[in-house]
Amino acid sequence: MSVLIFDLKESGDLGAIAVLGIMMLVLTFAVVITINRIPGFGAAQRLRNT
Amino acid sequence: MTIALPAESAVRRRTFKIDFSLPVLIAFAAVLCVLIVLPMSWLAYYSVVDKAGQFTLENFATLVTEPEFRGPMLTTLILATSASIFCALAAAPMGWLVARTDLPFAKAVRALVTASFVTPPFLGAIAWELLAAPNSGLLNKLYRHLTGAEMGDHIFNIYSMTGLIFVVSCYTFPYIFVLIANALDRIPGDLEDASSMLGGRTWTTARRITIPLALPALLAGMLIAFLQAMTLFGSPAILALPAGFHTMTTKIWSLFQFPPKPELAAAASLPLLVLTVMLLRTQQMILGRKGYSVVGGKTGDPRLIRLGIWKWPAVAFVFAVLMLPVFLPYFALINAALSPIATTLVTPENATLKNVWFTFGLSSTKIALQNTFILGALTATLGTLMALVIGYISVRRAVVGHQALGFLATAPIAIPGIVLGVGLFLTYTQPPFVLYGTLWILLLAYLTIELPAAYQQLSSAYKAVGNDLEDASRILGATRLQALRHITAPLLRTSVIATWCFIFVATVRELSAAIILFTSDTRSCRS
Repeated sequence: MSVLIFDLKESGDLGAIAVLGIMMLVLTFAVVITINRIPGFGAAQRLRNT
Repeated sequence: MTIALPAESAVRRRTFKIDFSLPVLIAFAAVLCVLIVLPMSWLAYYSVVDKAGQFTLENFATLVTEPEFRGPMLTTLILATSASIFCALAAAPMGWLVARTDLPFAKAVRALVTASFVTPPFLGAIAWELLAAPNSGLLNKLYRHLTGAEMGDHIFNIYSMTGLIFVVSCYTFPYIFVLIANALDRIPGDLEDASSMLGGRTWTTARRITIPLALPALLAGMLIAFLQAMTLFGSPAILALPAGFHTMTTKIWSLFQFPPKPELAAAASLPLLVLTVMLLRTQQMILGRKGYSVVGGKTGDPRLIRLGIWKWPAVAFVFAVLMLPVFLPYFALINAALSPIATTLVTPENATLKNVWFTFGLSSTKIALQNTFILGALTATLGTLMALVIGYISVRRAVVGHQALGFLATAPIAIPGIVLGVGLFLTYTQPPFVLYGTLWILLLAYLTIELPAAYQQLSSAYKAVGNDLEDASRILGATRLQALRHITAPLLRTSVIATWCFIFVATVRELSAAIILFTSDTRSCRS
């Protein structure tokens, strides 16, 4: 997707770049938020707490 | 409690069990060599041969003597130095405000810094193009509208060295912020309390205690910022090329345009590689200085300084900084997506979804999405699996030479994406492995680039899990691989999921290696 954005930039299609860029950001934020929602990182933390 | 196994059955079980651990571990070592050692060897080889394959140092001489290379080198040096200084100027006070003062909205500030951290720099550069291009930029249009200035007058020109330094700084400052804020978070309040009790005023305590303890993090952050700015491809390609100048990364990329000069590209890549290794080593030394270690037992929470009347000016400063990498660029992107003309302000009357339908109607978009998800999922799965096994070998010291395996898994951190791209191009454009133009070469590139982070993350997770349960399973007859599969891996489930997600996101955003390795064949997914 990043290469497509780069290519669209060369053809000057800024509207399409913006749409793809927002999609990329939404995907990134969704994953980052999902990771942050995972309770603790690794079972180690859970084992220590129990 | 002791479990007594019938001796006969235990012996029988051991008799028929084949331990595949060692061959599997050797196979992973071989894969690492293919991923890292092979492209770097070809890179080194190509840098010292001419087109006929004869040994020469002419490529390096060209780099030093030709103005077309000296210019980009100087530009890269200025860019990296300026960006690291500007980043430090913005990030250090922000880090201090968030970590050690009663700044309102501190959590929101950390979240917004994360947003700028995960924004691909090339996307930020495009957004700033929409905002500050001399003629069509929204901010320049606003300026002309407010002042009545002539068409062609502008206050911002993003296509300039200053513009490039600014945009690169916008997406590099989180590295310094994170290091500073984390360092300040960890400094125990006891030390500052002791200083206060001994008569030290706020400034004296800051000067004698807080700043010296945070200084290594600042210096390390500046080195990382320098490194990022030096090896970045996307932003310079978007802003420097239209302005008519090159950085080293764009110059290397241009050497692959017709007629390609891979020998020169290899020679130009090596200084970047050497400098990156040196900077990372320096950063490690700075952060590892024992003189700055805070050793003690239970420590108090960091002491928060009351900002008093400076509270709201501090909030204004922090949000003004965050406006540059987050609010303004995001606004520009949303505006461009919804506006009939990307550089015209969207209003409720002219808002349209035309761009959305157009983008998703493009066949190239569908193929790009398909390739992105295939590569993202494959890289994340294979990368996590490799990091899981290599982390296990390294942390549990499972085989002789585990240090070498750990080193190899960490080594790609010192290889800039564009340099790896050149190395892979040189390796896989010739028999017996002709992978150029297929998705496989991208998979190799992404795996190599993402492995160090995945390895570090899972190694930390292994260190946190004791090996008692694993030892128990070994005593009961499990092989190392069975113990890893049935005992340790399930215990690391959340870390494994997090690592998978990190690799997936990083793969989706990667540009610098992909730009060298993508061809029209790759795009049409013929691999």
